[in-house]
Amino acid sequence: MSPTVDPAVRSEIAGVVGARYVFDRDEEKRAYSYDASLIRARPDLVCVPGSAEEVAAVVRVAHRHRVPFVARGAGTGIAGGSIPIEGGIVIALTRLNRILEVNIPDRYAVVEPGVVNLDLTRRVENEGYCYRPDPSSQKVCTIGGNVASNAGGPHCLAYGVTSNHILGMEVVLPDGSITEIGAPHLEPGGYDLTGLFTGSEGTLGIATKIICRLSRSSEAVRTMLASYDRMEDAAAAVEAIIAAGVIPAALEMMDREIIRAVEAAVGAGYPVDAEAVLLIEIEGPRDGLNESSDVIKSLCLDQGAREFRTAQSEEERQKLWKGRKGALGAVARIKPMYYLHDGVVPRTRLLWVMKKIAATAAQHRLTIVNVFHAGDGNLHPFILFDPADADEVRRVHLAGEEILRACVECGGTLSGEHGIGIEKNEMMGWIFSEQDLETMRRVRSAIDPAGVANPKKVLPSGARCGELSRSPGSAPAGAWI
Amino acid sequence: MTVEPSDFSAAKDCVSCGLCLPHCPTYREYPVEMASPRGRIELMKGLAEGELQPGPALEEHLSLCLGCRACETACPSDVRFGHLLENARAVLKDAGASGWTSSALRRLFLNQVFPRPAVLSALASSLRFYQTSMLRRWVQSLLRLMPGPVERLEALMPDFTAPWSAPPPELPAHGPERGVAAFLTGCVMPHCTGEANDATLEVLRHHGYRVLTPKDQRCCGALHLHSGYQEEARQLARANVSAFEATGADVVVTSSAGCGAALKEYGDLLSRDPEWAERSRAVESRVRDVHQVLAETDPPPPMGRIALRAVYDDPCHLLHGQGVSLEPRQLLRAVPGLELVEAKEPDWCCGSAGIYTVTHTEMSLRVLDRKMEDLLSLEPDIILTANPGCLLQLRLGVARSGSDVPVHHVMELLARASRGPDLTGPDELRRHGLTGERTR
Amino acid sequence: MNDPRVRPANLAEAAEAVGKIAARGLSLRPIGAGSRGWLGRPAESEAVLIETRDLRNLEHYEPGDLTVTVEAGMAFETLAGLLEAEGQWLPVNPARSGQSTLGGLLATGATGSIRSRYGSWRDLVLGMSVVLADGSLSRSGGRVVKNVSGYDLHKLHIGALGTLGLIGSVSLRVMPLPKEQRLVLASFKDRAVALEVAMATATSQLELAAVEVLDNLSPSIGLAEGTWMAVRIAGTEADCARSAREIQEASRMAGSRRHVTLAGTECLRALRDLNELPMEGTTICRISAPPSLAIQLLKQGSLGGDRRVICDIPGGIVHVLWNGDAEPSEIIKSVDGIRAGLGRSGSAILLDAPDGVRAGIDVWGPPPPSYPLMQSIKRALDPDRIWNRGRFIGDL
Repeated sequence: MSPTVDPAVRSEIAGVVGARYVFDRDEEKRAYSYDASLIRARPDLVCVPGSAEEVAAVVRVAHRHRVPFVARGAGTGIAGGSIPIEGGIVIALTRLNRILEVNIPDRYAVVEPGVVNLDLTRRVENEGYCYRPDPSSQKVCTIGGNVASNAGGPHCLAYGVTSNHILGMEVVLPDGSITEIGAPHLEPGGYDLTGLFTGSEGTLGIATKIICRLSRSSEAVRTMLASYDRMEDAAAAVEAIIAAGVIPAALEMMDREIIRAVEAAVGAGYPVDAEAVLLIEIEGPRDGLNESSDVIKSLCLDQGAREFRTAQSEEERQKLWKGRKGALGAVARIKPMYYLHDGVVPRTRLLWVMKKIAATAAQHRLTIVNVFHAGDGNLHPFILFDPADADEVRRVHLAGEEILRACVECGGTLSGEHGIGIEKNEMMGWIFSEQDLETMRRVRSAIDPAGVANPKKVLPSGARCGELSRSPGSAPAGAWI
Repeated sequence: MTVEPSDFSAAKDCVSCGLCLPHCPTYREYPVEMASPRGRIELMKGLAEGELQPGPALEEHLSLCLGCRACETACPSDVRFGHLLENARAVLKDAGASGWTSSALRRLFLNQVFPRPAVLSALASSLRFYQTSMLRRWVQSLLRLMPGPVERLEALMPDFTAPWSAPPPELPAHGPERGVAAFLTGCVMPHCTGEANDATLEVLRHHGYRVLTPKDQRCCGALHLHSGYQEEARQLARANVSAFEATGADVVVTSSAGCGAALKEYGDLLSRDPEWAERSRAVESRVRDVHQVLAETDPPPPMGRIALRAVYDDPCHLLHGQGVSLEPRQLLRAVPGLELVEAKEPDWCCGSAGIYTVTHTEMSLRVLDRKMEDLLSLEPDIILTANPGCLLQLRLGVARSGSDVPVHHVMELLARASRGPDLTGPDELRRHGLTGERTR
Repeated sequence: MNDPRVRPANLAEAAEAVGKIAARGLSLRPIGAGSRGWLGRPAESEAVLIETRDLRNLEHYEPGDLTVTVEAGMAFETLAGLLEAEGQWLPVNPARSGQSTLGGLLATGATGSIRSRYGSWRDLVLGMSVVLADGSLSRSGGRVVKNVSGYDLHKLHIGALGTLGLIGSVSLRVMPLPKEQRLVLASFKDRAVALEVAMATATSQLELAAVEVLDNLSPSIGLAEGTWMAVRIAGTEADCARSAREIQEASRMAGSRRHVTLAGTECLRALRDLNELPMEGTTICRISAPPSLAIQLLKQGSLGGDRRVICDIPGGIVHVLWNGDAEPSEIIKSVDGIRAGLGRSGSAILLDAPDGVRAGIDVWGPPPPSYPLMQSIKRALDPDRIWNRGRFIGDL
């Protein structure tokens, strides 16, 4: 189906990165055919370059031969962004994992794209600094991948998403040339290319150096857990907290099923008989925390929290977070597979959409569990299924679409932090007009006229994309779900 | 073929979230997907589905795994990786595919040496006479990779100079008896790290255990299992089940983490054997690592003072394989005067992994070097661990780093503490070591 | 100026007008309140002005969502009033911006002293509708606070001086108003000491809204002579009280003899005064650099001594001011000196300058390394260069 790579391409690339880091046996193609989503497609060739220059040289080869390429970090994406849907070359950036510069006085660090998110914070935490974006997979996911998908995380409620923390980068453009965009200060001048490239999911080039803003760590942190017997009450508490003008650093919600799975997996100390829990964290100078936590506590209790507790030690706090951060993997304890969505709704529509999700689950006889960034209105419904059950798989798709439609209907969007990838690109017409998408296409082809950088991603394929919606069975070529 | 696709059903639990990646030593050192647990599971899925065939590519990628099982500890979905790997390696072995790294060497050790105490003993004797042949060449190759003086050669060699003779079948407890322990000596330890075995016996007795050492015990079979020699492993398991059930002891104890992890899975290994399934489960249920047994002793026996700064390195098969990490630390903290410091990455494998050091020398050394950097940065007076393979590997690491920090089994230190008199500090340790007079 | 102008009543009319004008090959220049027309190079050719003053609808405001969507011609202070009624605000404080329209502030990328705490426009804009050169209306982003659906094209228009299109409407994230605010003012005899105290303050764990050093500006803001550090504090009562106490104490220890904390209406008035510094006839150079470099420049060389400066310490943003009577050649020499001192590590642009100065120096300075990429984007969105021709960097 997909064209195999010309032997000349292979040997040119081997000449660049060395034979040890070029792979094209079936086993190796299979090992690079997936990420943390359910979408799969095999590359024709995989290479793992060791420097920015090697990345550029590989891209030049690909460009010259008009072979598509896809950059890949740790493969923890959930929208298929790094899946080589058109075959071609996967450029894995895992060897580019050095922190090149840490500048504490000027509060930035320069990293290679393969640096693991948490490793940057670990590097600077002893000096009282941190890198704020904290996707749940932060122990694994790379900053390059975070930039590509404009990753979020629980603490973006207070601190913003990846885009707010990237000052600039060195980019290999789709023709293999290298350029610098942005700068390690606030006003680099000209158009905000850093803003454009962040979240472009590898369709505009490959970042080979990234300038990350470092933030001063907060003086004090307080983490609270509120438990509810009714989901409605938990959702109402979220709305009440935001409405009261208190913006926690993080405000996460977990429902009953996920609480149980997490407890079985990591024993985070959540009450297993609650219908929902809120994990709330506030940060800042220690003086103000009492006032904020008192407000939060009384709002939570007003909305019917049956239990409200505050972590009394760093150990206890870590335990509470361990549950939240391990939720994704723990879901597999309930059913073999899940389809994870990432829709966003305005915060005031949280309760409405939660009810909609519950109704959708009932209608399609599915288990849907929720663990999400409630404070941002960023949902993460996990639709669980058994891949062996074809009818269930069909219903999973229907339910997923209905949930996203509901998000869009109430003023929300398709993805808050995971990206569009190949998973939701055909749904882009739900939120954008053909004109909007055409403008995006124009920008994309201005930068990648040959169409070799991660083709088929983000933007819908056909001219009719405005009306087209993906129905089950019309999954993109190469994807099995 | 003894392995069926259903043996890979655990692979289905993997949701490819990737949370295992940062915990995998081979992935960290060689960051390609096939060198990661997630990638290996994917390859095993391909094998189970029949889409991938046993052959050089699969062997290359699956043999690079250390089998440290750090991924199991990290996995939120509880995928039993070690179990999958054993099955996959069995398929590869049964397919008799070529290219199996150092397969001849592997077969030699697994089939001819480890299972046969007499052969192992003879080999050890010849090494004792002049440490030679393959092992020597291996050591020399390690040295070539090592910057530093060649005279350290001696330090790298397992100490075969002091022959260790099997203990009497029964040794009484010191003082009032609290229980009866049957001791698995292991097949390699008597020849390389006999002091650790002696120390284990001594500490058990000091803690009030009468110790039985059945004569007809065999190699535990762990190395066979890890290399895909499942039938051979089963034969050894049956022999051991038979030997240990006959002792009637309360607990079956070993101070070798690798052996302990294997013994604790005998039930699984023999589950399809109607004659042995129940018996193996019964024995399995009594298997304890020596640290688990000792940590339960209440009140603990008195200990002499040991004024040293020590770091404990978790053997993977104790930490990930048996979930034992607190007990050794608890025992060490109870030693008066001992300062126990923690490494930055205590869960990082030392790269020993059975005969991995021989089959994948380069990777083994890279993993080891990272371990040593971490451990030596703490400037310890002594490095402690709880598995013979790790013990030898860490000694190699110390020598490669040009350091002279002694590496010992936790039991050796505890034996010294229970024996007294006080050990005054690193100087005394350097002059007299931990063993002092050999006691039994 | 007698340039021809159009004044559309709504976005559809604006799009239609743009399409028609562009078809005739004319250049277009968006204009809001006209309050920031001084930014950029002189126009290259005659242009049709497209006024946004009538595009001032509030499209959507749901306080509970902490988001608002408005048309770009709305005045900043109008929006501020709407938000304040709900106990919220848009946390940006560009200087002298009351009458400015949101579109104008966005296009000029005008921000202020609190950007290090709250972010700048790129961090607050959630989505935008833009009229493109072909008269089409194109939208990106959305109106929820997290969104990774499609390219963030709206970020390209921020600070682009209208060279990629006319900003029609914008969705913004807003915040609850701080419970309390304080302004700590401390004077120092020595600029170097003030800078050190300010840097230490900015890197403390106190969460401050702004930390600035103002030198040689005192009379115009009603302060006594000397170098002043101005620290804006926002937060709970307890946070404010403690921060003010610690900052005053640190200032005292460093030798400050005059220091005061303003609260309540006094604080608000002082903040407004700081923001409304009169600037008519002044030449303003804005430097952006890593903070340590900015501070180094302020301690030596062409920025040392008696130059009037305002420095946003954590932001590394320095505004250097010259009076209307300064010699153009002297100003040009100074700016060249600043640019040489910055090299590739920072930027220095002239926000405002008399014609004599503009004639002798490029107000934008050398284009950034990614200039060719910017040209590609310009060609994609405005192939005939109809938007604000000649006024931005290079031929953008």
